[in-house]
Order: sequence, then C-alpha cells, then structure tokens
Amino acid sequence: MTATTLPSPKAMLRLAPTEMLALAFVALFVVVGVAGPYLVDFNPAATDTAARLKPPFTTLANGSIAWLGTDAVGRDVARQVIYGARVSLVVGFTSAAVATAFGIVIGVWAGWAGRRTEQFLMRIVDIQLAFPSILIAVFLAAFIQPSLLSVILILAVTRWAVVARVARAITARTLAKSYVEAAIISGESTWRIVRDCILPNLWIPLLILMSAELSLIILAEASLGFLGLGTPIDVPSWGRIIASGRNYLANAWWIATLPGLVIVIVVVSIGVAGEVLRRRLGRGVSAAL
Amino acid sequence: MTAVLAVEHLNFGYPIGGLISGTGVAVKALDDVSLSVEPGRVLGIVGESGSGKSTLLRTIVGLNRGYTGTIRYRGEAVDHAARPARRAAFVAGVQMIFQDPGGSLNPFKTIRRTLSAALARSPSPRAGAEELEALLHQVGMNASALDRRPSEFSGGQLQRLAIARALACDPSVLLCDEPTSALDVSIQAQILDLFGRLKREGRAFIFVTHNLGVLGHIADTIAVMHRGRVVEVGPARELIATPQQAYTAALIAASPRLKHRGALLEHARRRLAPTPAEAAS
Ligand SMILES: Nc1ncnc2c1ncn2[C@@H]1O[C@H](COP(=O)(O)OP(=O)(O)OP(=O)(O)O)[C@@H](O)[C@H]1O
Ligand SMILES: [Mg+2]
Repeated sequence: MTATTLPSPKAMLRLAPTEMLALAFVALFVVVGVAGPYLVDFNPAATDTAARLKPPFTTLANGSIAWLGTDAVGRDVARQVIYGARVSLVVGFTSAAVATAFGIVIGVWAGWAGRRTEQFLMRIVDIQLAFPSILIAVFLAAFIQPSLLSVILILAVTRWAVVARVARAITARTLAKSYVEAAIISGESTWRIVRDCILPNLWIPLLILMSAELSLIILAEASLGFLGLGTPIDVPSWGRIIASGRNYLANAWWIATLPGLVIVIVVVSIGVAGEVLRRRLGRGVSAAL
Repeated sequence: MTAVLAVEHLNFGYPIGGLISGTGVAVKALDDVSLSVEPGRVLGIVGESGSGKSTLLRTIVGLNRGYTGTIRYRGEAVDHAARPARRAAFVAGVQMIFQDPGGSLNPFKTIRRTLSAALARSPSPRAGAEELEALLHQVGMNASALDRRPSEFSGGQLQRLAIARALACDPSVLLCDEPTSALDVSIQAQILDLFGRLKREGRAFIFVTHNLGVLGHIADTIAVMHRGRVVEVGPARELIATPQQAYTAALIAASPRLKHRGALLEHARRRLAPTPAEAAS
C-alpha cells in the first residue's frame, strides 16, 4: 500500500535543533506578519531628518532604540521590516494559495480529460515554464496598475504551472487505480470521483510543493518591490526597503543589508520547514515532485 | 436459458498516439467478439498476455469508449453514452472485480463509507448497520472491519471486501479480471469457494484468467482468445481434454503446472470443505 496514512504525532514532533529553529522563525514570521502593525506604531509618511542614517543600536531622541538603524529620511528600519512583513506574508500565502488552486483545477482537468485537452493544457504549462518566472512577473507588472491584489495575481500567474504539472501527473496515475475505475463504472458523478478519489491524493504532495512556492513567491515579491514594480509606495514591503537603501550602501549599509538578511532567514526557514514536511509526510510522494 | 449478458460482434481498438493524438492508427484489441453467459453459469476466458481479455471486460462495463457492436443486458442493448440514470439497471446488475486487491478500494475511506456508498447506489437503497453486516457476512468477514481503512487488511481480505462492494447492489453478473492471481493458493481456494456460492445463488460470471487450472474447476464454458479474437468456445472439461484448435492445445501444453496447480487448489479446497453442520444448513 502507498503511504497514505500519517505517521504518529510523536514521530512528527521529533525534530533536529536547526529544524526547530526554522519552524520558530516561520512561526515568528507569521505572528509578526499578522500582528506587526499592532505591535509597533509606524507611519510610512513620517520623516525625521535629525534621525536620518543612524547605524543599528542607536538610541534616538525619543528614547527608543533603532535596532536595525534608520533610513535616509529617519524612519526606523526595524519597524519598517516588521510593518512590511505583513505584505510579504499576505502576498506570499495568498499567491501560493491562488496558484495552487488554479494549478489543481488545470492539472486535474488535464489529467481527467486526457487526449487533446490534456495535450493543449500541458503545452501551455510547458511554454510558461520555459520562461523564468521573474521575467513574466516583471513583464506583467509593467502593464498593470500596481496594487496589492495585482501583485498577488501576477505572482500567482508565475507559479501555477508547476502545480498543474504535479496535479496532472498524480491525477493520471490515480485514474488508473481500480478504485477509481470502480467508481466510474458505478456511474458516480465526475465531481464526486474527483473529490473522493483524486483530491485526497493531492493534498500532501501539494502542501510540500506549496512550501517551496511560498519562499519563491516571497523572493519574487521582494524583487518586484526592489524594481519599484511591486506594491504601491504607501505599502512598505521588504523589497522597497532594500531598494531605498540601494543608494546608501557606502555610508549606511544597514538599510539594504539587514532587511535582506531577514528575507534570507525567512526564505531559508520556510525551505527547511518544507523539508521537514516532506520527510514527515512525503514518504512515497516525493517521486511525484 | 436466455443469456443475462451477451456481446455481439464487438470490435474495439486502442488509439495509438500519433504526433497529434487521435491521428494514429488503432491497435485492434477486440475483433468481432461474440459471447454470452446465462444466469448461474461461469464463462471462463483464457488467452496469452495481450490477447484482449481485460479489454473485453473493460469494454463491457463502459471503460473503453468508441467500440462497435452490441452489448445486451437481459436482452436489452446497453448504451454507454447514455446518462447514468438511463443505464441504472446495467450499472447495478453488472459489477466488476479487479486483479489488484490493494488498489480496488479507496484508501482514504473507511470500509463503512465505501460499502454504505455502494449500498446507497443499489436499486433498493438501504444502508443500515444490518445491511452492512449482512454484506460482510456474505464474504466471510464481520462488522469489526467497518471502521478500518484498506491499508489495514491483507490481500485476501481486501479482495473479499471488493467482492462485498460489488455485491452491495445485488448484481446478476460479476466480471472478474484475474481476481485471484495476486493471492496465494489457499486464499485463492477460499475466494473461489466464495464465487462457487455466489454462482449457486444464480449469479453469472465472466471469469478472466491465465490459469487454466482455476478455470477447469469453476468454469462451465471456456472461451479462448488470441489477438483479440475468440478462437474457440466450448464446455470447460471437453475443451481442456480435447482442444479443437492448435492454439488452445498449445496454451494447455504451455501450462505444465496446470495439473500441479489444480491439485494444490483441490487439496486446499478439501481442507476448507464445509463441515457437515454447515453443509446441512
Ligand atoms: N490503454 C491501452 N492503450 C493502448 N493499448 C492497450 C491498452 N491496454 C491494452 N492495450 C493493448 O491491447 C491489447 C490487449 O490488451 P489486454 O490488456 O486486453 O490483454 P490481456 O489479455 O488482458 O492481457 P493480460 O493477460 O496480460 O492481462 C494488447 O496488445 C495491449 O498492448
Ligand atoms: Mg489483463
């Protein structure tokens, strides 16, 4: 039998210290992303020229400590990072979810329909995958009015094809199983067969895949922000913070470097967390990825 | 006796993918096949690998579209392109049992859900606890199986459960594609005994196998297939004893273990023979 049952909870909780650390960072990222704006008060429009370009750990005039320094207009970098985590979190999760949902629909449709429909849909997937996804994102972003929603959709467009490919492969393999044929023979509706027989096979592989997608999307969102194509100016994102520090690398390295480090930590942590998922849940499914 | 299930001049070919699918020539997998089976009878089908045995069963139940010829159930032609409601009698009356016990039950559902769904689809839907238990008793299992999932059963148990699902809608025809070849000999004997009981209840079988030894025991009629054609049909024992076609003779000669396997099965069955008390009831 295939590994369709979950391992015991105890086995799932046994983690190496680095894995714990990674999961803690992911949890911290989620908490900060959700609650960040309530934890710190930060006004992206406020400027304080007296406090501009202060290095990390400087005590400011108002008594607070700028842990990550301040930027060219005197805003606290740490607060910006905390504030911007929300954008990364929302964009990352929503885009990954939209991409996964769309990829599942296309992939299952192709796998189910077979023949020409399948070839047609999969050629589109192949063509899309032939282009670097950041290129597609930049291209689309150049034409579309920047907004949170448009960034989410643009990034989802760049990532659905991978999901569709995996979903199609799993669907085609599942369709050959006798239990699916038995359901077809007994006249069950297509929707019920998809829901009861096919979708359950997709969850675990796609959860693992989604964790990989999530870090790619967070990186892509930061890249778009860096290029000025991302979220609107009044929505501070990590990419924008780095972009704003680009011109001060020589005299204020922290503005671009420290938020960059935060992105690295988050992306690596999500990667490790995905790896934990893959090892705990993915016995027998990694071949599909 | 009139046939409960009959196929007339059935032709079917698998499309071979050309550069663009659908443009390739078809591999002829069924070539003018006409066969029938009466209630309470077993039609055995033998033939070498690739001779079209599975294709025949899959075409009958509607898994292969684009065939020509007629499939009749209780005298009426079946239209697999019709909406499920219009072929409800066929769907309930003709059930299939697959070769791989491991794959024939949905691994994500408990046995209770699988069997309840099957009962709910039957012509007279009742899915109470009693019906579920009665179904399991028919295949020699009990209610303790209900809340478990397929991964918790052995191959022989899974095949029994698959048979239980097939029996849920009280079918008159069971199509079996190598139902015992994944099982070891003593389990095979148990399953064959179960089939024997279902046969005595008046159900018809089309029984596909490589194993002529198995057919010699269970089949009334044997059809020999070769490259999509039925090359010989006849009463089981006669056909094995005095094959008319060279191909059939070769097939029998090529089963050197036929006698041996048959003997093993016979031995296993004798051990399993019902006790006098059971036989009396
Ligand atoms: N899905 C398919 N697509 C294309 N050709 C197929 C397909 N399934 C079967 N065939 C071909 O059809 C022919 C008959 O196959 P079938 O599976 O019916 O044989 P079989 O008698 O059941 O063999 P076995 O004893 O090995 O199960 C073979 O030549 C096979 O290669
Ligand atoms: Mg076969």
